[in-house]
Amino acid sequence: MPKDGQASVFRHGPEPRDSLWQIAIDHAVGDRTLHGAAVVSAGEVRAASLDVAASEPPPRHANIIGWASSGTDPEAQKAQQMAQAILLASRAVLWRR
Amino acid sequence: MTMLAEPLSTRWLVRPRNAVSSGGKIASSAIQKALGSLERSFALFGPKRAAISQIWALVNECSEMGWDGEHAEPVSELAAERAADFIRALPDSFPLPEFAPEPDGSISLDWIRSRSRLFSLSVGAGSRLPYAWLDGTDIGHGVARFDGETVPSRILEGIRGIVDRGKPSFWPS
Repeated sequence: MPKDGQASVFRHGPEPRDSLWQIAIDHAVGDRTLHGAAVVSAGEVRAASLDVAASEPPPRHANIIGWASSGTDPEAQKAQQMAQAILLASRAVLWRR
Repeated sequence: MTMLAEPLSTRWLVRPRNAVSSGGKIASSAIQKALGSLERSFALFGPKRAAISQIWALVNECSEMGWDGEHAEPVSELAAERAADFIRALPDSFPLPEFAPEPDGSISLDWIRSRSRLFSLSVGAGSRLPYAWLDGTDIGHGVARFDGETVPSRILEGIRGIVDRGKPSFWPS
């Protein structure tokens, strides 16, 4: 789910998968245990009526933006965002570490 | 407040062989039947109690600001209490959800049939619960009010429509 209208992600291209795990360890996991990653293409993000905007540093960091905004009804806004999130999640692929 | 009555371990009190008179044997049988019912009730509540334990484990795990490595708020104890109330209010034998923390301090309750069939409900500090579902190519969302005791029927129907075969008869827009 987004917070303040943004969901933090890291870009990954043809680099070895180990580089993705290292980025997660360096910038996202903290004290937690990294088990894997949900990977989704930018095209799928846009197909869910969202968008991706680069936001560095850290390197390769971006935000998923364009989440629904209802203004006056925070619960209704959240429900819309949940629908966007589960649609995006359904199109993601799980990479296990 | 809902209290959980632990089942009485009274087998040492009720021993059919100790009941000598016919009246004593009848009372013994009645007590054993009552205890069996109570223990079955406890067994049914067992999964709910385990689910509620998971909720409170989330509170412990996500008790600090930035638990997600970003700017997530701590999972709210009030949200946990309301989530526990929701679990208790579900009908007996109703499928129980998976739980996940949300960056705004709420708790997500997810019934996941497959990657394309799921129902997700968000429980925060308030009484209005945002929810969304995905059923193949159908997708929707809504908000329902939970009074702490009775789960709204459209939420129950929505969940059943995902975990059971076929679609529910009513999909709110």
